[in-house]
Amino acid sequence: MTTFFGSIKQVGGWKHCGLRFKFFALAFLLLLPVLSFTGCATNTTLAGGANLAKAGQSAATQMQQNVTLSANTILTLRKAVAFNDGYNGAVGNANSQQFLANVSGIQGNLKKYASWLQSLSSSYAALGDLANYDAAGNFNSSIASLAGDTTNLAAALGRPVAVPPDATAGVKVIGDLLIGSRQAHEIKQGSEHIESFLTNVISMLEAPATKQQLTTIQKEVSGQIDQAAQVLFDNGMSTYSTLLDDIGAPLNLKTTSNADEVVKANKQILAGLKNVANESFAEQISAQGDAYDQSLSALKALIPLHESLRNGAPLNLSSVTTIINQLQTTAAMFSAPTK
Amino acid sequence: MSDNQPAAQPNANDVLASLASAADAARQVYLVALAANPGADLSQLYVAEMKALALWSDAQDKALNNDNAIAAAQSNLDAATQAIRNALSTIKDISTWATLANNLVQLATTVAKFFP
Repeated sequence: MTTFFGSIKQVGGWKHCGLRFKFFALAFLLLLPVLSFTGCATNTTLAGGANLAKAGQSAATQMQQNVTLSANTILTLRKAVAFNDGYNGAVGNANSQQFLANVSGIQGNLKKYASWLQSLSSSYAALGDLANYDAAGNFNSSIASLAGDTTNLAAALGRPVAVPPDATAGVKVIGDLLIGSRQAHEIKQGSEHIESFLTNVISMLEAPATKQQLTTIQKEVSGQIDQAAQVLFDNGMSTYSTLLDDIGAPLNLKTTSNADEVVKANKQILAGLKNVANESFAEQISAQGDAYDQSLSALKALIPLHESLRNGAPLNLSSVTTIINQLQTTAAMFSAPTK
Repeated sequence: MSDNQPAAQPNANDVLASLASAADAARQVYLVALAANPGADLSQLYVAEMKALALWSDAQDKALNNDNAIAAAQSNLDAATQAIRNALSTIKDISTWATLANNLVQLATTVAKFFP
């Protein structure tokens, strides 16, 4: 009987279990659309966060390359000024030395902009980490650096900056969410923090005076470097073959061994080449301003991506990708040898 | 409105732009003279050019302050810079260029005092 009753009880237990199972199964079926929607939204945020991180990091890194005067450019400038001084019988010219010293000082301010871009790049990288694993601590230290560099940049530019206090608070880890949901929550928070710094710095960089502050030095440095090249050109000291080969390239023309003699004896060809050289100088100088405008456009193009992430919409990366490609082309112009 | 109303004060960036423009004009003077007189002694022009460049870069590197006397000096500097740009294609004589460049540098020196 015991066995029997036990069996009965057991059967009753199974019945009870069966009811519980049915209840949970029903609840699961009812919640399935909600869970799958939440899962879908979480996946969109995680994927969006990873894409935004890549785009932001790529844009900031590319911009950074166009901002400061490279060590190579500074070395070329020193050589050019030394040549110009010597050529004009002004070795040890105090004004030349003053100019070179001032360039170093101005470079210090450019480095603040470069540091900010470096911190921006690191913050985007840390945002990407949030999409892959629980990396809130890493993100929080990156956003703190970005906050510090934003303040330094604003001070260097003499412009006020108003970063909302919660932007520096970092992402807050919420323990009772599923891992995916928690990551999605952290990404959205992190994205908002980066966006608030981005918005502030864009408004600083949009001011025409800021562009002047950050780009005039590059124009003046290019001017001095180009002047030395122009002296060589005007004194007929260098071969014209590179310029001639460039111009003849569409017809696959190559200079002959006596080309330089021909050019020197022909004022019209010399005037043509001189004009090409001037055009090349002008292009390099205007590329400095273009790079600044493109960098600003790249920063602005990141804002709609942050908005899409916030709204759970897919990210359209085409605009920022185009601008990054333009920045790469412009960077190549800086490194192009002076002709 | 009073006729004696003071001219609008330029801000630091206006003055920096004027100094940069003057430095560019001084370089153009040198380059135009070089093209017209290859091999000639252009040291006077070069010294003026580097002086203008040092004045601009010094101002750019310094802190910015306001100075009431700067508006007139800036206006004169801009006029001299424009005059030099207008004359770039006409003057070939080095001594004429030297006079113009020295005048430009003198004005730039006055304007650069805006940055103590």
